[in-house]
Amino acid sequence: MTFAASRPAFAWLLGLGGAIAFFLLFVLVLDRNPFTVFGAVLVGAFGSDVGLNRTIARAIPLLLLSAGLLLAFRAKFWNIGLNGAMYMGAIAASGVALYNPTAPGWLILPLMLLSALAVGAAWSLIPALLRVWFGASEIIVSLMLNYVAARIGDFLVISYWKDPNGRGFPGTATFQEGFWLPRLGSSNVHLGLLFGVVAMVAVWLVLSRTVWGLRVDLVGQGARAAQYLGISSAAVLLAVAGVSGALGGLAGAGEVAGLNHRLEAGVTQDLGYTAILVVSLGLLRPWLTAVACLAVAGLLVGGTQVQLQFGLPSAVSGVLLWAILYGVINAQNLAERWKGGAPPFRPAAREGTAAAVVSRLAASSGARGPRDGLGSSERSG
Amino acid sequence: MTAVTALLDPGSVEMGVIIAFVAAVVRSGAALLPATLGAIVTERSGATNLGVEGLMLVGAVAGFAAASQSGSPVVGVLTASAAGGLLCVTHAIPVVQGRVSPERQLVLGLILVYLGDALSRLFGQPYVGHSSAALDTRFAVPLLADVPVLGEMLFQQRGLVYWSYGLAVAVWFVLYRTRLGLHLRAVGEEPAAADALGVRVDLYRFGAIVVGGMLMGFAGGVLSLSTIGAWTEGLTGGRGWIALGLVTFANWHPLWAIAGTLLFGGFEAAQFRLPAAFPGAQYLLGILPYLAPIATLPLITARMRGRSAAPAALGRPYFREARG
Repeated sequence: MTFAASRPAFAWLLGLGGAIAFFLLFVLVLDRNPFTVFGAVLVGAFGSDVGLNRTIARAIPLLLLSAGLLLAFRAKFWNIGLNGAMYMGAIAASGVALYNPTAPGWLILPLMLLSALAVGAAWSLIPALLRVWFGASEIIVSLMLNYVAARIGDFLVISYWKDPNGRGFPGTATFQEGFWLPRLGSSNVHLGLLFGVVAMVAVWLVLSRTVWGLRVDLVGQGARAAQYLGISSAAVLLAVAGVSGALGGLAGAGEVAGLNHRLEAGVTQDLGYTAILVVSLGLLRPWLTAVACLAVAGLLVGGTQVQLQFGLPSAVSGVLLWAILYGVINAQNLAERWKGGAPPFRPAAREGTAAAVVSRLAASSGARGPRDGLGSSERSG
Repeated sequence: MTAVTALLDPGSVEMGVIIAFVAAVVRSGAALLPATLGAIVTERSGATNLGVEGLMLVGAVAGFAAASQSGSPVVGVLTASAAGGLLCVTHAIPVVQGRVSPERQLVLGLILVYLGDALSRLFGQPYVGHSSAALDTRFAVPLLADVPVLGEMLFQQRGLVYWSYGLAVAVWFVLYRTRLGLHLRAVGEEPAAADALGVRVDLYRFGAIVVGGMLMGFAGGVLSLSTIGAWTEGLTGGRGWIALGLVTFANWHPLWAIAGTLLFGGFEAAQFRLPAAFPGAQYLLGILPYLAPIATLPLITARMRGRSAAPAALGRPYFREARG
């Protein structure tokens, strides 16, 4: 084993070792046995039917959200507004359910999902349009829109949509049973799991097997390269924003139609932010991201379990969770840096030469030659 | 006519309401402003830090605890700044030394939000509902406080309020009137050019992130010791996110940040003065601080083409060999 090959291993040792050392110290300071606590996280998340049930239920929205984020982030469209899209999706689905209380479920349930898809897409198109039209940073716009959505939802559940029999609880009345997504047996696992898996597989297929996926990556490489190949980066940005928002909306609809059966304040539980962490942990690659979904969902559920079992304040599991994830992110980063070269998902690196990319694109009907106006001065650097 | 004279009469009821409102606006803005300045300093160096909300929470607890132990609000805010700066070292190391990709930079900022929240809940537990902290006290500026209307509006505030607005002027001075500030802006704009001129890009970015964190921590201290005067979990209530929006709204300029802060402080102050019978209007006002940056961003980026101060290298790691 050469030194070059062992450097990524050293990075993992540093990042993960640091995280584990922090975990050990922190738990020891709290006067608990770190191994029992860690065992309890695993058992709590994956070891029992109840735990596994909760973990998968948590992973469903994460799958949908991170599938959408993969597309957006691969095009370097930094959509951090999926929490808002998810909230708006939940609101839209709830609205359809609340205003048609007596309609048949076979009609309303699909309408709930469709409206969530549409509203979520529209919500994420706002930052995309502002970027395409004005060059405005999508980060700040999508971030602000998260709070706009949350305020709208919080307002609705304490006013017009409030459950009259809710004893002051900020939430709507429970939907009628016809509007619930089917569940697997007596578990919490609902049809949303299928949507999530399909979405993730579809995103993987699109990114790895289609010209459109290559375009997404090329736009992510830099607008100039894409423009040179005749790709409209505006169209790609709008598409990835719309699809990611739609999937975010669907995640929200899944929470209200599949899990809670009503709209509550704080329905997203910040999963739209957690998903950003998940795709980063998954190195922006679909399969790794799917694994990261399950792992992070497990940590969230296991952490809650531990705090109940050991009588620890919820802040403790919070500190541990985020400190560990901080360590992992750093380990991944150092492993990439010290290995040298580009991260493996970059198509230019994967496909070999730029000529291969060009010929693949030229074979597709949408490709055009270099445009005028992008002269040598653009490429001289 | 009588209404107008009544309004202009410093002693009238109407004038009293207006004076109290403006004073409340200035007070509300005091906790928002240092956080905004912190984000401006950070972003001017080309680094991002989404963790404002978490850093404010940590600052709020640290400040409250230190003021309780020491009996001095000044010790409180200084501790709050130190806590914010210290926590930001964990952000600066991967962002500057680790040269993380843009999406990891966002993720690390978000981790800081949640880590800060969890830390503040952990260490703040004994201080929930605690009232023995030495809170910020009112300070009437000599002479100025006696100016009829303006004095009551601006110069009879609590002590830390003056610090906040003073910091904005200080940050402006450093950014625009010193070599240090020129270098910092160059690093955020054209790191390769700055590097070629011998400016140590990494050092400036590291420093900007840590100083930015100190300002965010300071803002938390102002919030718990002055604006609200208590510690509860989730005390910031979204102010950290609003501060991030304010950076854009103020076009990355410390003095414009004062104007933006007063406007946003106005939204906050008005929220508590609306009749409770219209919760919708309250929520609408609560949304405005988030909508305002969205509404103005296109104007800033399109209409002011070339004059937008958004740092060109924002969020991009700097590799010397890549030259930009």
